[in-house]
Amino acid sequence: MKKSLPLIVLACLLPWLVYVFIGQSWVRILDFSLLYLMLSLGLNVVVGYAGLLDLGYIAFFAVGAYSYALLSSPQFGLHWPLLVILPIGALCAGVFGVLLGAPTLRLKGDYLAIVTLGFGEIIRIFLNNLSTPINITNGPQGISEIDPLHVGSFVFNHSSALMGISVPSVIHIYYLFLLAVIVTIVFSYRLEKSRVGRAWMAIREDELAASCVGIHTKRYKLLAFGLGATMGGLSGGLFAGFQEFVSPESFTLMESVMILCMVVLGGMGHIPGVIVGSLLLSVLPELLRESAGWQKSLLGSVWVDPANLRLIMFALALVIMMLLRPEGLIPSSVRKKELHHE
Amino acid sequence: MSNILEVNAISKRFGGLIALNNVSLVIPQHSIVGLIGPNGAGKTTLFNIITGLYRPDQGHMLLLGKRLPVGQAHEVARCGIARTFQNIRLFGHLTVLENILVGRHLRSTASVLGAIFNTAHTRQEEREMRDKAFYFLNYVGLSHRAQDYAKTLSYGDQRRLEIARALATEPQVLALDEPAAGMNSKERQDLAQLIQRIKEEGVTVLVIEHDVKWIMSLCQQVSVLHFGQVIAEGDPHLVQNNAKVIEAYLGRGQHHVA
Ligand SMILES: Nc1ncnc2c1ncn2[C@@H]1O[C@H](COP(=O)(O)OP(=O)(O)OP(=O)(O)O)[C@@H](O)[C@H]1O
Ligand SMILES: [Mg+2]
Repeated sequence: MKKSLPLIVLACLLPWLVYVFIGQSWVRILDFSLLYLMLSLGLNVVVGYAGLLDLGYIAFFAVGAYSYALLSSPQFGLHWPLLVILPIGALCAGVFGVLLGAPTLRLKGDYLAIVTLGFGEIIRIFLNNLSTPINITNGPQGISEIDPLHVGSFVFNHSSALMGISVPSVIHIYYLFLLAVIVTIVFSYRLEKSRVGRAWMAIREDELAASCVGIHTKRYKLLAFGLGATMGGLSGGLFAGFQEFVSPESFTLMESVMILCMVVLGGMGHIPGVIVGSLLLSVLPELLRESAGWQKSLLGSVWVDPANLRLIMFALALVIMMLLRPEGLIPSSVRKKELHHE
Repeated sequence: MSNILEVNAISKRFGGLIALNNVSLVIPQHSIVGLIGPNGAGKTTLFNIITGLYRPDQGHMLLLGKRLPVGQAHEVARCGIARTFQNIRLFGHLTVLENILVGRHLRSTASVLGAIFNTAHTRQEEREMRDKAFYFLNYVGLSHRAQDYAKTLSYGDQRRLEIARALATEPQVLALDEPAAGMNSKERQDLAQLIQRIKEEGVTVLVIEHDVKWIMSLCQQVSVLHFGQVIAEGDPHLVQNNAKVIEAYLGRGQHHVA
């Protein structure tokens, strides 16, 4: 923990450096990458620790986001305070995690992946269609005019002046998200080193042997689904308040795949790996987005649409990774030994 | 001597194959009981039923006179039966120490909230668990490998780690499925000593093995399974000279015991 102090200091200075030297839009990108980091940490509990391949994880982000949206917007005329709805959203997502996890307990590997993928899509389709007969989610238009993130009279989404220095809203948001991320990291780390985390990893390694030392495997799998989903739900609530708008199209299968890639790229089940993986994969695509400008100046015209370039790079990165470093960029030393021995 | 485990009229079929046919066994407390029989006799299947991995089609089991839950491995472990596997099943990507700590699962209580908030109770328990874990590692002579990954151990060490993991649950009955397989004679001797020591601590040991000589010198009682049926049981030397057993092992004649 003490070793991470310089990192925390760096993380606190980063938004100012980026703001001053690059620009506000990049601080916004950092804000989003912190949300992705929370999602990755949540999925890491399910995939990395318990070894349950979940391809519908974004659904819990959606549940968290819609919980916030419904309880804090003109949709139902509710405007509950942040400190009430964030936990409610996280809890709702956790409950959904358990409910969707329960029918999949007997499934493994590919089969589990396909069923969770289906569940993820079902949630999105529900959000898309729950506008009739009673309008709950407002369908594909989504919910707008969501209350911004605020505590008392302090609104994170508005810029403020601190001792004569004006602080842009994206930096407030950054610190709020950073706080949430640090809490999530500390909790994840403690879980990993605990009796609970070891039970998950035992299930990942050998479910049968785990049950023979007395681990109630079903209960622990549900616990992993539930806790992972709770982290996703928290992230979703923050997302809704940050955007002040949610719609079903933010919660597609592609997003689930993206988060899984973040977890896998850095090194599953290993928190530093997950952090690096998710930061890389949320910042790199944004760099590529700017490549249209470079292409024009270097080659005279835009040769490859940046959106496609992003996907190509993604696919290439994953294929190369799987070939050269299947254990992830920053693996736990265990996995590295294992994968390079065989 | 009272019986710790009674297996009553267990039958199990897999499709058309009758793996166990009306098998009954009594295991006296504080003894080492051998289970032998040719390949495919049903020895592992019987272990799997006792330890709750399979559900029997018929029959039941009693542990110290109480009905043992069927088909629920974690419940059976809680009742005090631990086991090892014919094809070693360790948690390969966990360290040797962590394997034992997982074995302490039933003997610890830390919950999610306790872990997340790192409560005094959780920290205290974690310290005690580590001390206990080292006790079991020392017991099988593996404490110098505590921080290595289970995968990296030699075959013999993996077998011993698996036994230590089972012992870490502090069982009343320890079921070993071919623990001596693939060991040389020196390792077999050491293993026999280890099993003897475990018995002396008050644990009842049930052991499957093909090496008849080894098992005869180790056990107080031997049961012979053949085509899913117990064809002989009792004193090792009487069993060894039993005509049916000799026939089962040498395969004399095509007619097997009905
Ligand atoms: N899960 C299963 N499904 C179908 N058949 C099975 C299953 N488990 C065991 N069998 C069959 O049941 C019979 C008994 O198998 P078992 O593994 O219990 O034998 P064993 O006595 O342990 O033999 P070995 O000495 O080779 O380990 C075999 O014919 C085996 O093929
Ligand atoms: Mg067997």
